[in-house]
Amino acid sequence: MQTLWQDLRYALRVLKARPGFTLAAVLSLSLGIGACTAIFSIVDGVLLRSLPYPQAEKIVQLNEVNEKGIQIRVTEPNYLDVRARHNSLAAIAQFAGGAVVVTGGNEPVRARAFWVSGDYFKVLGVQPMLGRGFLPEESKQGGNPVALVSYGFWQRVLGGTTDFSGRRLNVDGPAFTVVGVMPQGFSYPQDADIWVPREVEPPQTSRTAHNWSVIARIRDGVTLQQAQTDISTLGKQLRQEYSKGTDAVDLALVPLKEFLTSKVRSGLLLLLAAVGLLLLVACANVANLTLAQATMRSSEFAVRAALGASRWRMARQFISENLLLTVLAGVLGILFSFWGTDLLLTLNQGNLPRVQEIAVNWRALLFTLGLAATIAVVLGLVPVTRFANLDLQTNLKEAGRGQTAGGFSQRLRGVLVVAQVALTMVLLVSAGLLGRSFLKLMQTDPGFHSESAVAMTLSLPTTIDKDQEQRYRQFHQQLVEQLKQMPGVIAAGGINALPLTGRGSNGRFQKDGNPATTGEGEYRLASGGYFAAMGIPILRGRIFDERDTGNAPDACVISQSLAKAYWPNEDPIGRTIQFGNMDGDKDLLHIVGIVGDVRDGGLDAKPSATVYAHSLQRPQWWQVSNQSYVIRAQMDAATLIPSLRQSVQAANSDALIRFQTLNEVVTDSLDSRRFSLIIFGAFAVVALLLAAAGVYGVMSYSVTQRTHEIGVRMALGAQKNAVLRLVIGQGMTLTFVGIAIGLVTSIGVTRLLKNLLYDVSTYDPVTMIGVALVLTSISLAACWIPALRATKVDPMTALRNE
Amino acid sequence: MLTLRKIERAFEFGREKNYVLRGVNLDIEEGEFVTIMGPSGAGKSTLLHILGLHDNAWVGEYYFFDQAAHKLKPKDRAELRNKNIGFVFQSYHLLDQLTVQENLEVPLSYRNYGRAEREQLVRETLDRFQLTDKKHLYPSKLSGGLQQLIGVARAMIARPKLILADEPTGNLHSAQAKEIMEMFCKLNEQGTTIIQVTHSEINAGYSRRIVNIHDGNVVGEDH
Ligand SMILES: Nc1ncnc2c1ncn2[C@@H]1O[C@H](COP(=O)(O)OP(=O)(O)OP(=O)(O)O)[C@@H](O)[C@H]1O
Ligand SMILES: [Mg+2]
Repeated sequence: MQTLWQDLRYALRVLKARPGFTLAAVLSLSLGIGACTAIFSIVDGVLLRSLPYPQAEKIVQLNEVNEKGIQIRVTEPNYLDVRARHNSLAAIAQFAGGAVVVTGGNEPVRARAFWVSGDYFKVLGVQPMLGRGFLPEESKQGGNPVALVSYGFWQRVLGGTTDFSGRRLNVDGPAFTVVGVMPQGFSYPQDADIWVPREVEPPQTSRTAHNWSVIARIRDGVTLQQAQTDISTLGKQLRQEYSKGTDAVDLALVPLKEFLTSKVRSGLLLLLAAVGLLLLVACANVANLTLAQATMRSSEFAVRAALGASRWRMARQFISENLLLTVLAGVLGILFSFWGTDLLLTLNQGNLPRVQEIAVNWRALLFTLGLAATIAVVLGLVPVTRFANLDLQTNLKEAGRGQTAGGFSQRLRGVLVVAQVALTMVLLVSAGLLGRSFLKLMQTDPGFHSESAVAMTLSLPTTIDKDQEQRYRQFHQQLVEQLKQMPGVIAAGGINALPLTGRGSNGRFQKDGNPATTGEGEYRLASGGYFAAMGIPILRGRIFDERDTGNAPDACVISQSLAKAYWPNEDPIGRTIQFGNMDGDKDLLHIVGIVGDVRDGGLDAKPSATVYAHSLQRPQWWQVSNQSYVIRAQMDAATLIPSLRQSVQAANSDALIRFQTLNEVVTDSLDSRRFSLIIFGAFAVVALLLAAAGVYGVMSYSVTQRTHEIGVRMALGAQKNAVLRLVIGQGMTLTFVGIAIGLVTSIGVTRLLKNLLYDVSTYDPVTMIGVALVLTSISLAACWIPALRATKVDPMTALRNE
Repeated sequence: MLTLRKIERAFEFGREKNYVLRGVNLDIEEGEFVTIMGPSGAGKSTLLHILGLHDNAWVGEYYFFDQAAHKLKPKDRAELRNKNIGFVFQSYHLLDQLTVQENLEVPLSYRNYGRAEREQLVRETLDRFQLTDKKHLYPSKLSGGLQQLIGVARAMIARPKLILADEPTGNLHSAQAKEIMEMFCKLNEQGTTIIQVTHSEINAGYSRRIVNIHDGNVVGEDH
């Protein structure tokens, strides 16, 4: 204990005496540790930790499985049948909903409201923190409209008052009385603010309208597998009973955690791997610095040995120094990780599930601690290998001469640099591939012109009835006309869901009024001006115009790929589509025109087959929340925003307005890609800097060690260029070996990135060569200073020690 | 061949200038074998470094044949040196990581020799110094005498007109020293000019002229 204390005190003095070394080592390590802890916190919060509900492993998501084997949401009649017939569940519930405008608080606000069935909170196992849950008589048709709100909503909108008995919220329907507040931190589905009983509205009857998410809790004593078998049997029964009347050929139960995180799982694990590489590069750097220190301190240790210190005693000295280093780095790293986690979450707005559960907590700290301790021991052992390989006699002698051959540690340092370069290469290649994919996506034609146009999205508070519906039509029509009249506006039109936002609905329609011939497509409500405003080309026929009034037959425009898929050798114009599945209106849609395809599902997705119906002819409830208007301008469209805001507010003061230029719509759709790109890019750049520092360190040390040799060579005729070549050659050999190993590793590893790539092969030669060139030039730069120093060696001085 | 006039060399210690050579005048003819002697610290090594054109910080006049070395740019001095001068050092200064053969090749690699020519010169030199059977060994495995023999071989492999040797036998037994001296005599007979620094009267006896240096001045010559 006494000696340990002594070791640490001495270690502190040693570190203080070498501020450059200490700073470099602590910085490298803390960067690595900080990044690791931040990514671990995210992985832990999203993938590892169980959901924050009692016995969360019992909670499952129930999905229909369609003929293609794809899991889709559930139709209400199927849900009701499962609820009536299952043998394995303790509770089952349906829910659906999304963003609405809520009035009745202090002012109209956008909120996420969900219709949930009676057992919803029983499935999740959560009780209100204040007030009460839904009563049985409230969870049925004609029941009193009541609502539960989230803690956040309660604070934000209701002012945190405990007396909310009088508060009514107008949420797309009757006014709901707030009866309870859910506990802080509870918000399922993500960002939910308001829950209302689903049963107050009449049930839906379509077995092909997939409107509902279904969650369930498995009964105690029943395994997941048993429950899965039970539900699957039920699914097959339903198929037998309704055959093509239902899309489900089977039903699937997926553990809720898995369901929520499956999309991001591989991406997060890749980030963890990437940050692991970064940490290794950082550790290699510190190992390198430590080795250099060990060599420089040979004489000190030789003297210690001569005075009787055992090898173990000296190893302990190194380990305590490293322990001190890593503790410092760990503390700094944790600070970095708090900051880094925040940064990552800001960068990744809306792309991660369970964000509210992500935090640098004791688990992450434990992880960091373990990491730091491992690093300390390994780094501490590195210099010990040196003593194990040199007998102390030579050490003393060499120390006396002020220089050491130190062949073993020099070789080890070379190996470390090679490893650093190779790991950096892998990170750079990954970042390069992601970057190339990103560039290719940016160049992909979305199917519309994103320049000089702005999209304005309105959310309107209301309930829909016949009169209101009429008022809506007028409001939309007038607004579009008004927009078109604004100075500088070339075209304007409305749509219920902008492309690339993932907001629209899709489903199965009947072709030519024949229930036996069906097709699948996106369904959108647009006004005539939409296509010109977006710059979507009209390929055949016409778009909506003044002929298409409320009384005229319903018109529709279809996208080219839909035309090709369902009328391959015929002219679709004049044919009909029945898309009652989408909005309940079974009136036939008459195809009047064909327009260009839009990549609605993402720039990396195939163009979507889309049916555009006319927003003035179809039911209006679609248009209440998130109706968008696209305005194309002569100049920079963003300059229109203030006057747009003014004219909307004049028309309807309760409307919530959100503006995005079409360019922003496009770039926002790449958010999660940009996220991976930025992280990989940042890791790669940091690794590159660390590797450059590694090359620099090894080379400058090598030059110091080779001073004598260089002097001799100069005496024998080597001129400046020859000396430069000697040093740079050595550095570049290490680099090239590293690059070669990195290249082979990259080819093996980048396959894991495949899902994140777009139109770029995993062994894209441009990226590989580009990255190799970058590494080469950075490494060249890192060798340059030591090489220049080598040319300044004075042969006279170098040879004087005779 | 060499003409030195009023060569001065000083080392600076802070603000003080410490004169090591104070106006050395010296003439050496082609084909001579000269020994420089003098007490420790007299400036012998310093003078040799100047003769060898390693040092650039002296003043005075230095003619190498009819070239005024004192007027040459460092790069041209290096050229002049590479073409004409070979060195032998007291502690051999062989490169430990290179084999005997590779050590011999080092000076050639810094001069304009083709690959074939280089190989032939190395082969001839190994032969001439009877080192062929040692060519793949590393210097540290060899005796001091052999190491210095390699040092001499390396000094003259690029066919210099002048060999400078600073206490070439300082680390050797007398028998080994004798061998090196005999090699010098042989080279000298074949036309190479040799200037050596030594403390040993015996070694000095192999040369035909002795230059004594004391306190930075040439104080006398024995023939
Ligand atoms: N690079 C240098 N910097 C400072 N002083 C130097 C340097 N080189 C030589 N000297 C000094 O110049 C003086 C002459 O040194 P030099 O090596 O020429 O002596 P020497 O005659 O060769 O002695 P020895 O017989 O011991 O080799 C000495 O006092 C030495 O300390
Ligand atoms: Mg000397």
